[in-house]
Amino acid sequence: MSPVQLFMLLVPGIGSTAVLGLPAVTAAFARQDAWLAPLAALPASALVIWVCGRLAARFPDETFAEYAPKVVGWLPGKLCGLLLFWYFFHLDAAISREFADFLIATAHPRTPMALAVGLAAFATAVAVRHGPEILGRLGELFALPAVLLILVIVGLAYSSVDMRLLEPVLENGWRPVFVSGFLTQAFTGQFVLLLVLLPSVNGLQHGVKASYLALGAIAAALVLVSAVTIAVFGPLTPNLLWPFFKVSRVGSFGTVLARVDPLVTGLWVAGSCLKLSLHRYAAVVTLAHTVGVRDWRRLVLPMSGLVAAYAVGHLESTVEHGYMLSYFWAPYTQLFQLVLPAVVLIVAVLRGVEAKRDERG
Amino acid sequence: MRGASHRRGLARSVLAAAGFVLFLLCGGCYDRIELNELAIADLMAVDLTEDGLLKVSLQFIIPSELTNPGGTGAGSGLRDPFYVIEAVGETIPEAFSRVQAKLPRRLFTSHLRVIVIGEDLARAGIGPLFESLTRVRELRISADVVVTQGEAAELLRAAPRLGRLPVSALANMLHQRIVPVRSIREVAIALASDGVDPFIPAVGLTQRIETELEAGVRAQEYELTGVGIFRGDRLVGFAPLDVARGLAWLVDDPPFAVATIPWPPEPDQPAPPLERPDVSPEEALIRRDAPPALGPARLGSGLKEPNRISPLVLRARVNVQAEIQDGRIVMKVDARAIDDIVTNQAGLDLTDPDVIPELEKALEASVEERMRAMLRLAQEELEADVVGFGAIVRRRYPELWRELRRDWHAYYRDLPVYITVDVKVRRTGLTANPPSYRPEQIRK
Amino acid sequence: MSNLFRSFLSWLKRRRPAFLQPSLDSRWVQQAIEKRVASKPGTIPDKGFPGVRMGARLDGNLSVIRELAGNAPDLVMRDLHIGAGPRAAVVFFDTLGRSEVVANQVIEPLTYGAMQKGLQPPRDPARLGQWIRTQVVNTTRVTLETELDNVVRELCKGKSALLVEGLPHAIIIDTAGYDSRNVTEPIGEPVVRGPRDGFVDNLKTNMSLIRRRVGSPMLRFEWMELGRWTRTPVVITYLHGLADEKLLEEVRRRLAAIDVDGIIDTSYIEEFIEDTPYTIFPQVLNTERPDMVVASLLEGRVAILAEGSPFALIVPATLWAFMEAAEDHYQRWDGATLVRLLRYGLVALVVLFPSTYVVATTFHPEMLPSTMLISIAAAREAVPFSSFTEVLLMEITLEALREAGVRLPRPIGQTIGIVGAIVIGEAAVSAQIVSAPVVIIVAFTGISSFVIPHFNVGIGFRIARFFILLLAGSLGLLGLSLGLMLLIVHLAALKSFGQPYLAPVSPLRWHELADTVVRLPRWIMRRRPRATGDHPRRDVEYFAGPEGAAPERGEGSLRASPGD
Repeated sequence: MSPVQLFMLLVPGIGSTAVLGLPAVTAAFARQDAWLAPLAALPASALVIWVCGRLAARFPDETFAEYAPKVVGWLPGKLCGLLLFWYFFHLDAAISREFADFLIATAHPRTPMALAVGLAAFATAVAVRHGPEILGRLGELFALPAVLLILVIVGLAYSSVDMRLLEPVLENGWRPVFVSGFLTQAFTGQFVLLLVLLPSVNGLQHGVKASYLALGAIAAALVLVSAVTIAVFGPLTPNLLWPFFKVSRVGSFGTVLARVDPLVTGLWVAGSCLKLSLHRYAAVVTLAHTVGVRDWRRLVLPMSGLVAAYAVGHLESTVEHGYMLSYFWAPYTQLFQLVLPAVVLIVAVLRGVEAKRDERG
Repeated sequence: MRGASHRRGLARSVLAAAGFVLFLLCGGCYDRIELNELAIADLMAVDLTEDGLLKVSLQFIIPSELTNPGGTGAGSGLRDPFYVIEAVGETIPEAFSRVQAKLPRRLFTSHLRVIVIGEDLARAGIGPLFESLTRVRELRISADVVVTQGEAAELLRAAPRLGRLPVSALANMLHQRIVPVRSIREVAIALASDGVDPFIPAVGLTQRIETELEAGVRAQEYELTGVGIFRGDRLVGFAPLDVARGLAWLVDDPPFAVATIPWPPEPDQPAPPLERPDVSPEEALIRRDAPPALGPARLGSGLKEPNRISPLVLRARVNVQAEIQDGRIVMKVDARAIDDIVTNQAGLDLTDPDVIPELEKALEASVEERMRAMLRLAQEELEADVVGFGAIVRRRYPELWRELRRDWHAYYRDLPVYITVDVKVRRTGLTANPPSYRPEQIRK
Repeated sequence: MSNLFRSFLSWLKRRRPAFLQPSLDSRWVQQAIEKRVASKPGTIPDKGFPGVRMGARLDGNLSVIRELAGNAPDLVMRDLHIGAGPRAAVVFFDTLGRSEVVANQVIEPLTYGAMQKGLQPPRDPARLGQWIRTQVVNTTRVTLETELDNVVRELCKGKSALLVEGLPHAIIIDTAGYDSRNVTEPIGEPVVRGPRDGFVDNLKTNMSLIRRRVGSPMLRFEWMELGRWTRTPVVITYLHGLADEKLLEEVRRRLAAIDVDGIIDTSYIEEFIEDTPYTIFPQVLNTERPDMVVASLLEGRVAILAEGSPFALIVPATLWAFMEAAEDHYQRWDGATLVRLLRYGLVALVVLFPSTYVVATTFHPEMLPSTMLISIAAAREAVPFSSFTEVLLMEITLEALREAGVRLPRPIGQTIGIVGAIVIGEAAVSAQIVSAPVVIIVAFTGISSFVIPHFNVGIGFRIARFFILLLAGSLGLLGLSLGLMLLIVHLAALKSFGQPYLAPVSPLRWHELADTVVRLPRWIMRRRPRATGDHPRRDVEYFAGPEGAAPERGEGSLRASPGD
């Protein structure tokens, strides 16, 4: 995978779900200042990338689950691998769940959730089995349409945009912005994927640089999307479940398509599939390296089944899901996204553990 | 070269494909519905019944009456291509389900383009209605909303001549932007915002001139009657069309409209209406044959107000700002417009550059008067902040707003509004001077 | 001990002295051959008669050759005397070799010519062969063959064998020549502007069409025979220095591994050398245009030609290569770019339009504008089928019409089109069996599928269309997007001779997009596309230009660039 592919994989891979749901979550705290939240989340997310980059520099050809035992000792290392696996697994299930919720709420009210989740799990399993190289190529194919889609929605909603709804800026000070920035970090902190992806990238330095750029691009997209959503829906924003989707329902192509939202749903399905595949890949590889399975491909199908089952089973309704996203998710994910790799990095620095010189690429 | 592994691969893919097709045949088709199993509703009226329930009237399209699929002309023409079904319920979805009980096809509301709210319901409060309107997935959040004076369901009786469906006549009329159009989204935002009261265009019915063929047919057309003004979620009054145009200016959505002024300007009072001479058609014929009298005062003297100039607003921009003057919040309205002159009954010399500034001053006064009329209604009579002065104050002075918001409406009543208008007459239509005037009759 | 003996035997076998090789002079050799031809003819193409030499006796040789040819009626054996000297015979298939060439170039100089000039054939058999080759026979390609197998094979390729009494060789004279189609405009890939010659069914002509276009000696042809029974000559052609060595090695490896009874057309080869056999998308490009082949060679690709096939194979091939028409390179770049974009748009329609219609009408009627919804609803009011069934029926009808139109002779084919389009379509709509919008959509999809320049990738897209239609009809938008997703994953994972199928879009190679998604002016495309391996700038020369040592900047298309 080339750094360009990494960039184009990360942007839709991490940004797709955030674009759709984030404004509601952040606007609940920061109201009309929610568009500042992604900027507030930037430093912490950059820190995640930096930590992953430093770790990858020490162990250029290995994934987290492979070098963790060398750094913190065998048993703690395996535990770290399992924790990271759990994070990827849980996130993958949560994305599946959100995917199905969204699909059912917006397009297919009578379709059973198990069917939607199962089909998505199957389709992504097919993609994952082809390996990171193909995921990178898919990223290249999806990045441009995803960006175009956002721009088209924004353009269509332009006549409904009322910039005055963004004022007053910082009505309640910085505090709510930082709180919502923390929530945003749960999305942008998903750069912890780099722990698994960086070994497959040619050229570590460029890979890390591409990740920073991807973070910038995602933050820019989130700022744009949040700002437009608030400018269209104003005080309604926190009440909407998928606010940017609602934005797409405002505009229309006149005589060709009355509502573009099913189109958005369709393309978003593709985006989520990419995200699902990425996390599935990360989960499978981490597990394989922790447990010591030689061919991670064998784990893909069973893992996909598990993810689907967990996604269907672990939450009751959209209410629980929304509540979890707002109050539980952010601190929970930080544990895995920032704390876990940071601890391993610190131990590695203190103990001076790194891969042999001749292995460094 | 292609060994056993390939044969196994083939068997596996055949198996997978078979399983997939089987799965599709068994598992799919959950949300499937054919178009000819749908009852497509395009217009909805919501009223309040006497027992405090919601009465929902839905107008459905009958596609086969609209177009003949054989391609030979449009429909039978004998029956209307639409019909209306009513049902009563405590909430909108409940009423929908009662409507469904009267329908042979599945109720389909995604193509509702206009929602009409009856006066009683509007006076009782539209908050609960908008709760349903924003939550239900099928509804378009960009559908237009109107209110009526009287019962909303009455509006569904009209069968306008232009346009195949009443709803397109109604929606297209609204989008001529005589007054600002409001969609579900915009009203909902106004309801949810601090310091803004909603307003919704008001529509009524009017009789059209019947042709002989139409004798006995109900020949009703829609007519824009003004704007319904809300305080909170309750309707508190209607602004008639002329006043509502002032609102259009104030919310920076100026109409593509004509606002006639007298000439020379009469700043204090409009001239006492002249008695229109009672002229029989025969006399009118005789008059027309009579040689034209000299002097502009005699030209067209049969009209109520002969000396009029009509501008057409080409472009306009209105900016409302809050400011603090002497420790008190004042609103500053700054309007700029570019006008075209489309009628000059006053015989003014529009070729004279010195005349234009005077004319502009008179036009500015007329625009200001329109806004003032609206503000008088909104501030003094109805005490409804439809312009959103409160929101403007909030944006500019958030801290101050926190103190004011509790009793904003009381404050709003006496809020001073300074209006400055700048009108530029850029063009004067296609003629220089009126054709019926001699050069010596032109007013300098 | 036995090991030693065995190795001695194998040594004997490898460098068998002539006296140990069986010769047709032995009666038992002749009988053994006759017996095998009679009893096990199926093993002859596989095993042949390795190591059997021609005999010195003319009659023996002739009888075995006649036996091997199965007493073929078209096998001509002409007895003659060389000058006044030894007896000889010319053997050839008069269906392959040209009789008049044999008569004028071989028989006449040997008999009448030699007498006229008073040439004396040498007595010594060794010198006799040399004498015939160098002094008598007039044709250009003359070789000596000793082994029986080779002699018979050469005969089957249309050459003539001159057998002389007392000479244990056959003198093989190239007199091949048979009727073949003239070089005409390629039917499958016509252009408005551009070269009008197309490949024919004759390998030599095809090679000449390529050689004519490439002045460089770096143009290479590698010859091989494929097919146990057909022994079809197959030629790999490439530009030495431009084509990647690894790619070439892979092509050679895959061709050599082919084991099949016969190669009737290059499509036989294609099936054997594809990377992924289980896919609906072709991974080997075929063309009947020599200019396309040469253009591909210049991009570092490798072409494969076979005798009897007017289609050349080009590897590696990407999806975009299948979407290119030759015309794109001959029209102005702006128009060509627009046409290409149109083509991609229409291909998207081919795959997605019917299923989008089904999704929009049966799952998401809210997508359509009210007026369009009403029109479609009115048209569908009396139709008995569901939208999905309707579309499927019409699609199948369209495919049937297309197939009928292709197979029938041209005048009847047109009738089929008219009957199908007007009669069936019109009648079905007015009988309200199907609705008019469906007819419009299916017809438009059909037209769109004709803009795909290469027929075989069009078939792929049409199959994909049915697959997605099925998914969309049962799962709606979810099915449509998942189907599309699977299609894209599949395409992204495909490879053609190691080259990613979607390159240069994915993986992204910026400078190659110039002749993929769009077609920029030639003087902008300074780098050679990277089919495989490295991709040097065009100003790196592989052979000296006409000026000699100084490499000429801007070869070929670059010559006219305003920058130079």
